[in-house]
Amino acid sequence: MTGGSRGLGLAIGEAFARAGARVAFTFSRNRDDAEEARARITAAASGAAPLVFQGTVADAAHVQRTVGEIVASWGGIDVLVNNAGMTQVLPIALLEEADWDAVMNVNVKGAYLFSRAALKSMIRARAGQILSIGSFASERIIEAPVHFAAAKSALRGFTEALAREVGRYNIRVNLLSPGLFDAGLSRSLPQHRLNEYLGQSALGRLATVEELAQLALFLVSDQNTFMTGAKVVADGGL
Amino acid sequence: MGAAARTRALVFGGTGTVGEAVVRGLREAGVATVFGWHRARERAAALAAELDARPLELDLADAGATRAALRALRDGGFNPDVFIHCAAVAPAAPLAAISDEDWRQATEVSGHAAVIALQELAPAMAAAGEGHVVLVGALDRAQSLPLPIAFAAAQGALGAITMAAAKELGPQGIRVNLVALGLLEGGLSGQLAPSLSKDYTTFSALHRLGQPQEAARAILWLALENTYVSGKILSVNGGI
Repeated sequence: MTGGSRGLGLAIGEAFARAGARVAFTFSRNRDDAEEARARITAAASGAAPLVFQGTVADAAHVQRTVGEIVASWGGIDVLVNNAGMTQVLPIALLEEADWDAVMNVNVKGAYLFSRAALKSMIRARAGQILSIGSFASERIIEAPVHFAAAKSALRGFTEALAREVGRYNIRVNLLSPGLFDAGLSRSLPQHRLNEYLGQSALGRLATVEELAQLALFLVSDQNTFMTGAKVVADGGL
Repeated sequence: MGAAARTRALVFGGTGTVGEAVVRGLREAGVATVFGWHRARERAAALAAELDARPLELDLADAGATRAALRALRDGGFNPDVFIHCAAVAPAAPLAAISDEDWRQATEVSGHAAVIALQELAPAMAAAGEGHVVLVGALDRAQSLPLPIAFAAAQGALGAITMAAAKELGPQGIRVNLVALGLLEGGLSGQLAPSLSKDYTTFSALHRLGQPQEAARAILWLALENTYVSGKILSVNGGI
């Protein structure tokens, strides 16, 4: 799990741990969040502590080191969740090249680097599941930062092409694209924007990270054997 | 937010290849199940006996009879919180040979039957504050494939119904989704051109056809576990 110290990533880690998985996660900056996540995942796993790695997902050396240590400890990786993401709420006129690069690096390059590294053990095992976390921002015409929408759209192409490339090894690659949920971006939106969103949502509420985590769990589980290259949009009927 | 237990299901097309796997899964989950059947009387009886599920004879091409059967079910006290529509017919005629009756059958059994079921079942679901509808179609219309036109049209309508019904019924707590299946071993897939199966095996990411049980597991997740996905098409197709 990349970006597993808080929000949706943490909820997915806890759900996986409760389902019996050994969990490893990465985080980039906030050590306090990571320690709290470590404790929560340990509790969810009935005492089995997760492996925790600090670094940026766009740093190839960090990726190699992380995947190498997991494979050395556990013998392989069955499931990779590319969850790490970032955005900045900026109009294009104020969006500097460095902003563009940072969002593309974390959201897209990170998924590429971690997938490439994790696939080696998955191909050896002739089994694996890769799930990337997209966004409804790539599904609809909405007010979203253009670099973020472009990055999440890139994950769609990445998912489809990678699914086709590694399907022969019994590896499934899918994309979960949530709408707004009770963590992350929704916390920083002004109330009138949230109200607009909820007014368009058939279910009239934000998702909880727990219910998105249950969906993620299904998508990477043995229950899902024939979905690949698919995107699942979970936006409450937006 | 955990999924509340769902206890009563109605399945259209319960004696079909996918429908039977769905009914089996529902009963394994302890869900009281009524399943529709049309021609397969003996199969329906055997399934009912084996799984302790209730068979309901339904000609989905007959709108009036379908509506009456659903009303009788309701009047008998069976108000499902889950509805799964697995029934379809696949007239294989090329364009020039499609009869009016072919077209009517294909569209009645797929889209119109789904709408009738929503009309008849949604009020009780809304009164209960929760309902889960899963329509099951073939392929997700994202690809240009050599399918019989009447079949493709009937299946395509299911996607439109899903999106519109999810919007209208969402505020009442009813989720509506479509599982768009790829080619499977058995069932309607066997009625399509053999070359299509061969191409599918060659070009799909998993290089194989699906099993009905794999389809059923995705359908059952949406029907029994999903809480937030609505108005969506879930492509379960092996990557095509």
